[in-house]
Amino acid sequence: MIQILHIARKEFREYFTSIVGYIFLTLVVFITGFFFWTILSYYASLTEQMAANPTMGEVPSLTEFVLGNMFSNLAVIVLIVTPFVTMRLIAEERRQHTLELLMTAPVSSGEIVVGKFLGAFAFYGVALILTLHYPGTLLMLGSPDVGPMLTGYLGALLFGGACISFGLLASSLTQHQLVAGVVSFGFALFMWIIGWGSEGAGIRQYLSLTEHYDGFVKGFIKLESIIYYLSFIVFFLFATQQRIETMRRQ
Amino acid sequence: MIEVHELTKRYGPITAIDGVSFRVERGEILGFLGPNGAGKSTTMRILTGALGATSGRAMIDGFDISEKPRQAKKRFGYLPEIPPVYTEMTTSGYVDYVARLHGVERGKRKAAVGKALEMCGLSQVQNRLIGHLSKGYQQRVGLAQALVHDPPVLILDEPTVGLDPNQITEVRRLIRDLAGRHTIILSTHILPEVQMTCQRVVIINRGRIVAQDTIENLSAQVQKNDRLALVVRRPSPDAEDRLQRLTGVQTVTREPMEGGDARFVIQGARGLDLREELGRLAFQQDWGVLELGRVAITLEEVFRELTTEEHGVSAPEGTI
Repeated sequence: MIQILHIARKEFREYFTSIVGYIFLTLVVFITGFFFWTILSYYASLTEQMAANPTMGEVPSLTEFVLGNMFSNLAVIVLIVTPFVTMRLIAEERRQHTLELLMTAPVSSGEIVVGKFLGAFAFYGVALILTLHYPGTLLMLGSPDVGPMLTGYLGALLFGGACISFGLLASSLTQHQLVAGVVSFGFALFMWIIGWGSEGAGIRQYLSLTEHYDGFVKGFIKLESIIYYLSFIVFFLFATQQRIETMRRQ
Repeated sequence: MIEVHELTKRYGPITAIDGVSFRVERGEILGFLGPNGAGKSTTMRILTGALGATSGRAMIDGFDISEKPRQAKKRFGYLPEIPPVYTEMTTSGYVDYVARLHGVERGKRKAAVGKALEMCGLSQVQNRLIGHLSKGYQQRVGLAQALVHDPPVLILDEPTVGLDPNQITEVRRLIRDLAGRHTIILSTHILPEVQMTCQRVVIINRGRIVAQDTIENLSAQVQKNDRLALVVRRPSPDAEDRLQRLTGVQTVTREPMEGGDARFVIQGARGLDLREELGRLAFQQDWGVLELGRVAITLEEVFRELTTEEHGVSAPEGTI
């Protein structure tokens, strides 16, 4: 079992041995920073207008407005960028013939898959840590609700974990990183829009990656959403493990 | 130490290996010899668990690779045909990672990595990125990786392929140094490599084992050959016919030489020494014998014979 951590450690460190990891983190910080800035300035002008014109109704709370928009946008960013984090994981090992090393080492295919998942997930965690200063700024500026911040991050972790899990499967399907990236991006996009246009709590709504995420953003922790994300992750990790075993048989 | 029993691998209608069986005893170096595409890599990949067999069993130190993969895999180091190195890692970082994968304990890891690097002559390049190393060095990194957990069994797939002559000599010396402490199975399509490093050979062709023997026996087979050469000064026009008529002679070929001399290569029936008869005939006919002796058959020819006889097709050129 300790081998899982060794694999995770190696995958995690690999993001920092090449420039790709740094570019990725820079992009995340830059784009979230841009969003934060535009949302915050929009909020400022909105509250000014509302103070001048009381007929516009109640001023939305800082947390709800800024953080809500912030987390919604974060999901879109995560959806777009995680394929770049995951596409390398197995495809590159196959292309460089290094998968043979893992297949002939005393580690099971399940350990390989979980190790790789955790390595990528930890890297994703670093990206999230780099966004902590936005809620930090809000805490210094005003007195926002801490609850939705925490649930928002919990949601972001689960959401990102789900994106990484199917990105990992996509990476095991091909030797070409780019193909893996496109496949996982396409799938992510589909899982995002699957809930569109269906009213109420239909099956499509339930399957949508983003519908569950919205609950966390609003400050709720729904058990069904946690179960949804966890089973999503477990399903795709299992599929990846099966895929590796299939490669062994061929 | 290694036991392979009736191993078969089919890819749809294609049979890559067919009923391959052999054993390697503790401390032995076995050469696994065959032309390209004979099934050497397939056998080794099955033996190491990288590939599943269609049927048959492969055991390492008593552990079945498909039933007890973890125990079996702890007991060997494997260098695949293409060294499985991560080009963006440093040499020592990579070997350390492999040591971790093999469960080398924390306290012993540093020493184990250092020892493997030193054995393979990599201490100088331990902090360099593997991608920046030459092919020969990368091959050695692959070897260091196979050695780092000090496994009782080493499985090396074409360890000298793609190296320059100096590097080849070095790698072979390294393998010989490892002998005794490790049981080694080494695949190659280069015959002299087997002669230089191995004690026993398994020859595989088209997915089947065509011979397995010790180097001594194979060499003995070579020395006991029944091909003779006769060089004469004044061959009569009917010399070829006369030779052919001798009892036990199978084929005669005449090779003209300078100044009317001729060289006859006579293939006798297996195990028959025809030198005396040949000599008598040559003196009776007054051909003027210059030379009479056995033609030295190299191990290469034995190999070629073994890998072509069975199927009646010649081994592709350049495989030796």
